Amino acid sequence: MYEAIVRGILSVAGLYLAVGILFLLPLHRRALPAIDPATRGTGLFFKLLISPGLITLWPLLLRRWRQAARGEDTAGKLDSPFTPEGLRRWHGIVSVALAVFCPAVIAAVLYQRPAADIHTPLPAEVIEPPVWVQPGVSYGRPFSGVPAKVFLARNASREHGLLFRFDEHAELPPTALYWTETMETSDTLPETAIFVGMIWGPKTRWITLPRDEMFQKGHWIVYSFADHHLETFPVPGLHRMPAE
Amino acid sequence: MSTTYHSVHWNTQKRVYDAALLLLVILATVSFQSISAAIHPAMTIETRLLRSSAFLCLFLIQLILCIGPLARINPRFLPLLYNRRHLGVCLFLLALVHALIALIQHHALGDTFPLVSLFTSYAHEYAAAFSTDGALARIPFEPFGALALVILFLMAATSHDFWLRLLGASAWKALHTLVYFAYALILFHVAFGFLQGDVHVIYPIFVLSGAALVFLLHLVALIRGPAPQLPISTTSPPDEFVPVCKVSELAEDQGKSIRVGKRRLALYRHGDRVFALSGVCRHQGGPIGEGRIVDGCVTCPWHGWQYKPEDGMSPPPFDEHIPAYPVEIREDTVYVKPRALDRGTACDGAIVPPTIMPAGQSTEPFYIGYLSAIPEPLTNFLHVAAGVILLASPLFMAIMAAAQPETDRGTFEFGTTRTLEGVFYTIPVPSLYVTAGPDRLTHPSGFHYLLCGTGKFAIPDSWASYSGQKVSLAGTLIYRNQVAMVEVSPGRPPEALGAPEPHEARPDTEILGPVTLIGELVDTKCYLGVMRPATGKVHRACAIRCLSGGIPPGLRVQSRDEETAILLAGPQDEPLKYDVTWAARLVRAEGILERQNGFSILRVNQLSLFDGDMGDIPEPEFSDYG
Repeated sequence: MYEAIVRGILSVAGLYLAVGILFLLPLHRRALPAIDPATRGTGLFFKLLISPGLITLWPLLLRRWRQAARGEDTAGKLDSPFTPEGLRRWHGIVSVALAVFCPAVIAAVLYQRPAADIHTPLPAEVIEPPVWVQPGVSYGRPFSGVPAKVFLARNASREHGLLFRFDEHAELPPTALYWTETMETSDTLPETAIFVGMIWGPKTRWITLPRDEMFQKGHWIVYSFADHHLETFPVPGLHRMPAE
Repeated sequence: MSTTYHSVHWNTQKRVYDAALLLLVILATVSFQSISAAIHPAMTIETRLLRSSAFLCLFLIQLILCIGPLARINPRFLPLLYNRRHLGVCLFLLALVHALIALIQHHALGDTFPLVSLFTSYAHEYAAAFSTDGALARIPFEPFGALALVILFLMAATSHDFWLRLLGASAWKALHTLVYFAYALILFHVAFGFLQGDVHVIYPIFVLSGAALVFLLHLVALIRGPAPQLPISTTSPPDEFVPVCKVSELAEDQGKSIRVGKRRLALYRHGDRVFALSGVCRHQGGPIGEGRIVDGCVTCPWHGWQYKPEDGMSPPPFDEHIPAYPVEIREDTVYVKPRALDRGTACDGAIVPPTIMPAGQSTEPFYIGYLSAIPEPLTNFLHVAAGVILLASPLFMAIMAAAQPETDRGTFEFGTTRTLEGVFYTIPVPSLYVTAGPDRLTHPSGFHYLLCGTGKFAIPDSWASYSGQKVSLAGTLIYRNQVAMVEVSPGRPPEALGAPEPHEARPDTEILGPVTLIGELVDTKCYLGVMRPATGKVHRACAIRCLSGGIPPGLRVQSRDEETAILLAGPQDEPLKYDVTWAARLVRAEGILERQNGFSILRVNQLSLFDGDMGDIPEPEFSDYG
């Protein structure tokens, strides 16, 4: 029902403005000089300036034009004297009414703001719990175009894993971590590559390494499901960098 | 007053005024954009533009509404009042920018005409507003802004003197008094919209204190402005002279306001004569009694319109007129006949006895807006006032920018097209399962991409024929945390690559168990990165359009310090049946939680609006989640 009413109103408004646009040129060329001689000889910018008003108030202009065409004296109507008393009274009433009404409504609306976020327990597979890690060996390697630091560390359960530390606002396209013992070429995923887990930013991500050899030897491979690009870096058993 | 209209009667004052205004807008916008970009780099440029235009509009309308009473309290603010219409037009243009960005971003490219969507997306909340607890705050905020824009447009479109003459001063003034309604509507637009989110307390403080300042200034202007004249009551017929004041109360060439019955009059002593004219300027009702005589003409203090004191006519070539009244002096008292002279009738005024000296003159400089030069005492004052305003605006915008709530994250690789190969599925949601490849044929792992169409639409229904097939499709990536989506173009259907190999098909979902979740109903496309922010009431209409267009619904769930979106689907493999107008509201969803590589999904048995009661939510049955 609302939609039908709104569509109806908008249709009528659109038609009204379309008629105003149709009348625009005749109003400029013929009506205005008849209604108000001061519009004669005005520049293009003035005409453009008043055009939105002409399109919006075209019935009034037509009425004035008709009066001018009949020779009626429009000077009085054009120059109606200003009578401030009534307007000042309404000015005062409206000001006070708004001064009372507006803060009351705003306060009520703010009071009824929806509740703060509600927390719900979710499994670790869905949302990763924060992980406390012991300091370990770190790497600083950009991958997937996103700068990150990678730490080999252990969590509170003394499991080995990789901690990826990203910039606070970093986002990664779908990216997976693989491990392989041997890496023959650098641009294809080896057949022996083992899927370890998904990596995503921002801030930090932890991936547990399920097999001891994954943190002792071989290569880690970061693989992008978006463009199939991969980057490899050796396990610290072969190339160890100083801890931070 | 003009013999022919100009678009703008440029002079030095107007040029300086407009230059200062332009500088204000630039400083404010740059301040907001730079601080926002530094503190909230994830925020989209559209959101930054939307908010900077909004805050600047709020600043400007409060400035505009303060100028009037300030000028009444202290005439030194009159130069700011004189060209106030430029501020008004600037306000309208900024509001228009804000409206267009909002309309395009939140209402366009959907299944409903944008203007219809603006007014009807969740219009049912009007009916519930006063019948349900907390429902008042859910009233749509967008129509308030739209109506305010209409008022600002009408004011801007009729701000030229041409319209003042055509409509008549009373009607024109009444129209422009609607600015107060526009201000109220803008306050409601903010209160029902932006302030409904989790925003810093400084925002409601600013809104309420700004409104309080406007009201207080009006009150002070009423109390401390030029003293209202107590009417001189008279029971005499209008053809009889009425005593109005002492001659010695009149200063040379400076007006004195009086009221006789309901008439406002202005008395002037000029040379050795006293004249009486109407106290209301023909232009915009300015106080003639507070003016001066300049170049032999009574000059209105507001906009400098002039009238000859002897007959109330404007000097040639102008033809405006205010009534003149007969005046006499008896001994030391001025008498006025309250019946006006006919238009153009000259009156010599009343001769002042030479022994009566004029009152002391005011030393305040008299400002005339259409002159190029401003009196020097006013210049210094204006420099200070302009400096304060030009400093305040970028400072205010910087504070508004810095206090913004943390924005949603996500990435939308707009302009970048990727080609993906995988197996196409439509159940439970349209998705593409991509295995590591194309040269990896034996690897078991893969990733699910959700699929959506362009704009606020899902993929075409006709693409269901590709279900179960291996396809290649091109699209734009959207991703946030561990969930990713591909926006595909309906004009570029997938390329079928035949039946998938067994290892390319998606594995069975991992069933995690029954669960009851509370979260905000979102559309996954915006949430994953197309819009930032993509949650809350300010985004509600857009979310409704997206969900209405078939974008997969999601539940924004917060757990510990993280949040994620969980897809929602029906209990079997059918789509979820739900009310799209629940978007951006907290809902309670009960069902079976499942997991795929790429998304989590809740097979919903029951979905309802959350009533705030957490008491009966059962403990989840899945293990090892702590």
